Amino acid sequence: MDAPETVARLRWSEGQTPARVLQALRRAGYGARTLGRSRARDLFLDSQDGLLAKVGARLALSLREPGALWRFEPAGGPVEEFPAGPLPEGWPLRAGAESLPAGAQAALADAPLFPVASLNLAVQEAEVTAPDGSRLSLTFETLRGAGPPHTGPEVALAARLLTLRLVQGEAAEVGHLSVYLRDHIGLATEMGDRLALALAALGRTEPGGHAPPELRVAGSDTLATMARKVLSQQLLKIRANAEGTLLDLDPEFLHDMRVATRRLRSALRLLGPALGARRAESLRTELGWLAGLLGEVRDLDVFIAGLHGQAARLGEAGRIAERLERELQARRVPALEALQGALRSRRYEVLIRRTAALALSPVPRRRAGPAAMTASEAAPLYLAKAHKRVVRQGRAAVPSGEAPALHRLRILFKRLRYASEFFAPALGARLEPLIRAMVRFQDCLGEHQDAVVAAQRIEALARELAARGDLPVDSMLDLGGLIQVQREIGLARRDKLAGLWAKFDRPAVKRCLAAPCAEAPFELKPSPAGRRTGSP
Amino acid sequence: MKVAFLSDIHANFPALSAALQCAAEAGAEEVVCAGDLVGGGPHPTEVVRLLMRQGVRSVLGNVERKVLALSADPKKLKKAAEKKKRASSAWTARTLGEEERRWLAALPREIRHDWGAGEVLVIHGSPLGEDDYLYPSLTAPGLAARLKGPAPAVLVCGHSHIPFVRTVGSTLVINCGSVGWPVDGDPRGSFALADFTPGRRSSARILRFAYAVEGLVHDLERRRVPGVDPGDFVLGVKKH
Repeated sequence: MDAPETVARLRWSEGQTPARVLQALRRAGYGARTLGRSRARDLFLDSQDGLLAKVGARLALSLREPGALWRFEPAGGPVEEFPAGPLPEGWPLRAGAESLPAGAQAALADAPLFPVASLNLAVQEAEVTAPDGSRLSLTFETLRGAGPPHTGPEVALAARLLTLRLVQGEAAEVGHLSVYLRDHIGLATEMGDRLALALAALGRTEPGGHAPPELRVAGSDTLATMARKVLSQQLLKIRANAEGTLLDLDPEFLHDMRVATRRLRSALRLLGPALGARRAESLRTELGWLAGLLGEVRDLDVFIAGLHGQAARLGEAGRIAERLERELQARRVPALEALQGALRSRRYEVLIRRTAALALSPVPRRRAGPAAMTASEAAPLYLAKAHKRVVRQGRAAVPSGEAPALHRLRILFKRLRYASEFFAPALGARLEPLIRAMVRFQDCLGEHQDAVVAAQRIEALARELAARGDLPVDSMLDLGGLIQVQREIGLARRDKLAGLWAKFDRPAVKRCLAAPCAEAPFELKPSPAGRRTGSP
Repeated sequence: MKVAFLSDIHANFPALSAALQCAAEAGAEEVVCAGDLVGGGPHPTEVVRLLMRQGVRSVLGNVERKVLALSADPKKLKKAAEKKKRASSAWTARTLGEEERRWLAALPREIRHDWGAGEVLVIHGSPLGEDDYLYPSLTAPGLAARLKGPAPAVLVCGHSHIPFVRTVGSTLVINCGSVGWPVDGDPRGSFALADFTPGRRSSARILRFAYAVEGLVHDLERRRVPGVDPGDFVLGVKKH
């Protein structure tokens, strides 16, 4: 038997006031007492990738009488709250630097916090004692308005939410009480919490854009259904990161938006026939416009971030990195402005609308053809095909070590990895070790490609500065040193690639992808907790 | 005096709530239950508590007997949980609290009462026991063979989930049908409303009521009640 839930939510109406509900509960044998009323303004916070939302928890900075409170609502169990001290100006807020509730600190692991939405509400708290002695808290909330995290007007809300939480005793009592309130008193069950209601009113997604259970791909899904689910998942990610990208809050917003755009394009290429080939191709082409703009800024971000580490290897000559960074930052400004202009444009709005329309389009009733295959039937066919292409390219590119051939291998590898990730939920855990191995290989290819591109960029920049007469001779020599660092990185990655490729180019890998039920070719090791997967 | 006779609630709380409301609206001054309060549905605790709280008199059904036997014997309970046919009873036995089990264990096998128009006998299955059935095809000799003593003026039963009101010999036989698990293809619950007026012949009619079956289906799935097909409640059938 599953563990019963310790939190339940219902909607109450104007006619079912807290006093009436509590009176009805007293008649039913519950002990009920009111604890107090307050007006509140809660500002919800979460990390860029929605670490709290992922585990169903909420963190709010709540402005109530007599002062500001940190309020942490875990997915189950009692609410943790204590007075909040003065906060530093601006975002993000470092979780480690603030004395956050212990539950929030554990879930966030020092991740920076960003605002998600604000909520204007009236709260009435009550406590109920069940016939078996268990204690439950009842929070009656009248949600009056929801505000976006940064700019924009508050949206009026007219929702009334009742949240039951177990304080002490048997968890099953939450279920008994919610059934009584639903079936005997007539309150409607509510699936979402107050932040979910606020986000719905604001037309926003949950932080991090994690896929809800209904969007998870199952082995029995037809390709047509699976394609729509994958599109919806990636669209959620894009929407969850769009505002952070627009406001340039943190490079990770842009990174995640770019990854989701790439995955979306990859899904449209792979599963296009199951979505309508012409429509999918047209959308993929249009997404290329967005991907290009995101790529411009992201490549500069990666280059700048890499420079710091590489400059340290040059010792005193590393001073040139500062100069270079200023130049790169100056180039980032117009690239970001172009991206921000695009994200505010009607073209972007239409693009998102078209993607959503395709993701929500009805699944055709076809009894034959690729769209009618189930995900578990189609997976071996699709994965074997992508693997074959990778192997053909890899056998030529890895020994030669030529940059264009390795870049092509990287692209084919990425397609194989994305296809494996799309199908993985339908195939259980068997593909996971293989996907982790793909990530390692792809990381190595990515670092090689970054080094090649960085060397070219530095060279082009040096020529440009020299042409302007803006590059003293000692700086020119330092730049040469930096190019040498890139070449050394490239060489080291090429050497590493040979070893990784030998592990990948094996009959066992082919067997696993062609028939994913076969024995896993890699040892199943748990991925380190809290670690972000490598390259996108 | 109007009395509502409920039977075979089968741990279906939304149906019981709707039945009690319907009975109150129809003018019932008292509610009596003819057994099988739990088993099958996801709300055994909620159902027992509501009946306890509302002071509803009830008789013991065959499911209560099985559930109480399983509660008393951990070995049997473990074995029953592994068998598809008995898994639902085992789940109910594990779910019920101590207080609810005590209340069920104290239920009588029959209730004999006179509401002013002759003796009324309330049992779950038939006078022979909780496992015997009374169907609409019941004959006067069939009823006589089941009765141990003189025939009551009114006999109220459940168990078969097939509602009917028939006069057999001199006895008005009322089968309440089922509040929580109808099986006649009509997913609405049923109960009987009897009118006992001194000096007049007792009469009864079957009332049917709709309830929010989606809440029940949701809870059956969420609480993972074994051995029960939620579709049965939606369609008003019972597949064996």
